Amino acid sequence: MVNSSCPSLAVQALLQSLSHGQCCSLSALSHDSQLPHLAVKHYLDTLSQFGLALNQVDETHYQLDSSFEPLDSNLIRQQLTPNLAEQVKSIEVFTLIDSTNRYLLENAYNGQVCLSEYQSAGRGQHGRTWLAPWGGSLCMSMSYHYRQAPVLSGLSLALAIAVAQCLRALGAAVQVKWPNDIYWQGRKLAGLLIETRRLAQRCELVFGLGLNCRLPNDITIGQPWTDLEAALIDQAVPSRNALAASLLNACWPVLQHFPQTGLSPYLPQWLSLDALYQQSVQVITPLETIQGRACGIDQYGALQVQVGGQRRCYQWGEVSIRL
Amino acid sequence: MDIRKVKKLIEMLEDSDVAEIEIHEGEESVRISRYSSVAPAVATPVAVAAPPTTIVTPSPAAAPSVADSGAAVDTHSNDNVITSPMVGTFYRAASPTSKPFVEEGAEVKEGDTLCIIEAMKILNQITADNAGVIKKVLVENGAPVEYGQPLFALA
Repeated sequence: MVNSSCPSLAVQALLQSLSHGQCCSLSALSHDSQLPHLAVKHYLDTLSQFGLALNQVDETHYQLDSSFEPLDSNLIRQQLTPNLAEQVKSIEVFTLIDSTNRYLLENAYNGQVCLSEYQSAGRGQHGRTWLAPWGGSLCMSMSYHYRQAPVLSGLSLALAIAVAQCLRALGAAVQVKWPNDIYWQGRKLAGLLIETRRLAQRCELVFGLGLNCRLPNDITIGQPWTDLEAALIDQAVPSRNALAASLLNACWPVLQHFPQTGLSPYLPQWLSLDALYQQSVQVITPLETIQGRACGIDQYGALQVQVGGQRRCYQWGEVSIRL
Repeated sequence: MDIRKVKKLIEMLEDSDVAEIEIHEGEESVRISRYSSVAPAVATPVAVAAPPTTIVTPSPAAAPSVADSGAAVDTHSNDNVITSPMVGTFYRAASPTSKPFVEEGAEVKEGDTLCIIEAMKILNQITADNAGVIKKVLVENGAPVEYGQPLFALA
């Protein structure tokens, strides 16, 4: 079953035992994980340091703060569409990893999915770190390899639309902030990052997604944030395994078909999801900082900004809403 | 090919110790060499499929500016220049704190990552399509690059 030579599996087993919010004894946890008592204590201490909401009831009993379903590759696979279940070659769940995107970029074959309970160095746009407290978020990456050199301009927007539609189907009235952040009521709910390796005869793509599911209120992220629990208002947050499957089902077809379809089928949807539309914005590029009014995207996905009497298009840049 | 691009190329060539570079865009190619007795000539004007932000206007007006610079342009060479496959921002390292993927003088193998070009939150690792030595890094870290812009000269 589980042994101490593979800490990730042992830790995942500990989390499984604690996951239903029950109070567990050290002996029971030791039995389930096949770890000695001291090792169980050590792992649980470490997990607490990484942000797992764990209570030590007394010297020998532990309990999780809220009901917590650990990530489980079988549960995710069971909820994939038949077509997808065929295309997804593997689903790997880590307890702790530096970055699921980095892992897939370096190790991936086509059709690999990787999730982690905790990312110590999750990657955002150009090296910014994505902060993910234990079990409070969904960190998932997937690999898709293309033959030759596909034109992928606008793919980040199409994927953001797919993620937004998926969350809207659950009942969260989210919007998309150009180019591909998911926002709810002006606060960031999820971030997407696409990385590719362009080789002579193919293009290896990794798509990573970080979604806040349930974050502690006192957390500091450096920008206004929200979580799915808030965005769903009165509805219960689905388990992260169900969420992961829904997001895979929504995003995979986009990855698969984008080189043929391009962005055009997504343009009408963008219009209804655009968080910046008609907002007064500031755009910072390596060349300049300008202020203007956002007026949607062009057919290639570039942000259109009205500056005085002139309409400008931006393919890159940092955009913020001016209050 | 856009005359401004050709001019930029010439300027870059003059600031470097590279003797000549050759750029291919679709069916069109331009070779610029520093020390040549060949009369200045303009690349064959052929329409190039390029992303929307690149303006490609082959024009006979190219000839005078090329001549002014004292460099010669023709259409044949074996030199290897790695050009940008897209519009975006050029980064030499994976993050602001990491070391550059390659330095000038570094030997690279086919498939080695040379740089990242970021466009609309897609981080594209550009790899070497041949083994060689990086003779010159032609773009500064953090600078915007255009489709087809030369990034590295390989020897």
